[in-house]
Amino acid sequence: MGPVIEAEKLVKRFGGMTAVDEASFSVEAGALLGVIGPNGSGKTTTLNILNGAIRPDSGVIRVNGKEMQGKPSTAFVEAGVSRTFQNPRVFTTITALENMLVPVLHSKGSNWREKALDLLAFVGLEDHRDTPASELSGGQQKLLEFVRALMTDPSVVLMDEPFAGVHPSVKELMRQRILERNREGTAFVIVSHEIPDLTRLCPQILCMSSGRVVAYGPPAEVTSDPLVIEAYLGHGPSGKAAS
Amino acid sequence: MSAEIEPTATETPVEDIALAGARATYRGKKLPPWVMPVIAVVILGGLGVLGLVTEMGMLTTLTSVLYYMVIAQGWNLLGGYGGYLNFGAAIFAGSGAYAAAWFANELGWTMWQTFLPAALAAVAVSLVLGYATLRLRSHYFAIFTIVFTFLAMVVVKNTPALGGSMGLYAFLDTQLDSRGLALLFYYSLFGFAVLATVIAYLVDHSNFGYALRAISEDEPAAQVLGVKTVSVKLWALVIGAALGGAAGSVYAFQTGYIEPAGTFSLDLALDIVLVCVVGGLATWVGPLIGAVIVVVLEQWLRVFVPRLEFFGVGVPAETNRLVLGILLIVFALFIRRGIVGLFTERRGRRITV
Repeated sequence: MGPVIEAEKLVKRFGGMTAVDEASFSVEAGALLGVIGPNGSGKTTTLNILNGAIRPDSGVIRVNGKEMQGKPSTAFVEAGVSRTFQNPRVFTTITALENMLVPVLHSKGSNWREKALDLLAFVGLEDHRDTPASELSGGQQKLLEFVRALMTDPSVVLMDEPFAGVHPSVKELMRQRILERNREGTAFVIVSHEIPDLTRLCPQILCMSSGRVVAYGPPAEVTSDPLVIEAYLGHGPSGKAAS
Repeated sequence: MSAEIEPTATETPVEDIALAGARATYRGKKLPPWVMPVIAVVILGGLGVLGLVTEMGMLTTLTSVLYYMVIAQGWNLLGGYGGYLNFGAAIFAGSGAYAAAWFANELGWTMWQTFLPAALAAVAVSLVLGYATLRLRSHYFAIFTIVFTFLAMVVVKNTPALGGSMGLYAFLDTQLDSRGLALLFYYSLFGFAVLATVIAYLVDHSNFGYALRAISEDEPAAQVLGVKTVSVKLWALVIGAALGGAAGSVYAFQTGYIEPAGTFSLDLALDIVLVCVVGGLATWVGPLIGAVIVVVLEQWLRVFVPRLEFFGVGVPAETNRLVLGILLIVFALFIRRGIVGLFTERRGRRITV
């Protein structure tokens, strides 16, 4: 299997600020890739480009071999990309089950409801199918958003800070379910500031700094990379490595 | 890396730990599922029976109730569920009315035959409006619909084929006496009201309806999840326009004479918004309740206000619009989810600190 996502020299500027600066990388099918980097290093902008929410100023994105730059986010979903957000963006005026049915509006088939219920049960939310999403806790909203992203059977799920601000046990549940789906072949790109969680989960880590990809490899290699340490500390490795 | 949690090696499924305490099934202020359908059946059933037994004055009022009901159910799809508050309801009802009058005059068609062309004319106008504006976010869309209402009026005023500023007559060639005729209009609108309510119910319970609510709350998120938001909004507008257009054709024959200023009037557009706000936006029963309250109140005020005197001075008849305006403000500030909302669970974000 080839890569699900290939990014070549992505550039995105906001006014005079270059948020993503010639970032190139690829995500193999079934990969579990963690993305780290200091605040403002371009991680979220990169995710936004990878699912079509933002158009890059230049560069090429291929999803499952198809060139996608300039296409709307709905085309990215059809090509097999789905995502979650930094702050959960569940739709609060509809129930958990109804939230699950939003992504499959344009999809053919009829047993979406059954599939949605299976996925809710997958993260222990089966008793909350008829609960308005506004009444779910923050952790439950994160879980709902996670399984909602799986409704379209994506080949890659982009997750922005799935572990931020949730209870350790929810974090653990999320981690296990990500691993489970990953074993079944779904690729994940996970942006997180929780580096220990991420390095434990992902066999591959990509580090961004000032919009560039500064390191890409196994966790131990990346976290000890001088460029990564510099990105986080603002200077070279003078003493202890940060991790 | 100190405060790391080791994977649990116990037999307890991890979701039981994660969701302990949160597992209790949600118990909100929730009505049994049959309550809303029963209310709808009572209102529509009541109107169905009242048409046969009531006297002519009341029949005219109830005809207006049904007219508003059909248009409001249509408007509610994009305006309520989709969150695209707009003031364009008169455009579609007006297009339907003009199409009906034109076909009656030029081709001698009877009312039944004009239903479809009236609906299609409204759909055509809604497609123009939709393609031009539905890429705009809600406030800009709302403003544009006001402009478009005036534009429609100006275009019709300057089109001789549509009677220009003189307007058009729409006669019904029939043997029916005045009551028979009134009942014909009444039950035509009644049929459309039932149809509109069935459509609203189906939308409310479909993935299309969930997507509309998603758009209303967070359109960019809906888009990123794969919802083709422009096409969903356009469909909601088009379905609503078709209902408005069909109702407009009955209106044309009922009044017998239509002219641009009265047909493309912002009063109607505002009343439709008021009907949905009072009844409950984004609910399929709301427009039914709202139409009864708003129209009956409006008709009562129209009769009652001119009789009022303050210190021997009469009150201007337009005061009834003032009362409806105050009603809109009261609902917008204090009863935001309308009358249906008073009895159903609170949903959506709360502002918290």
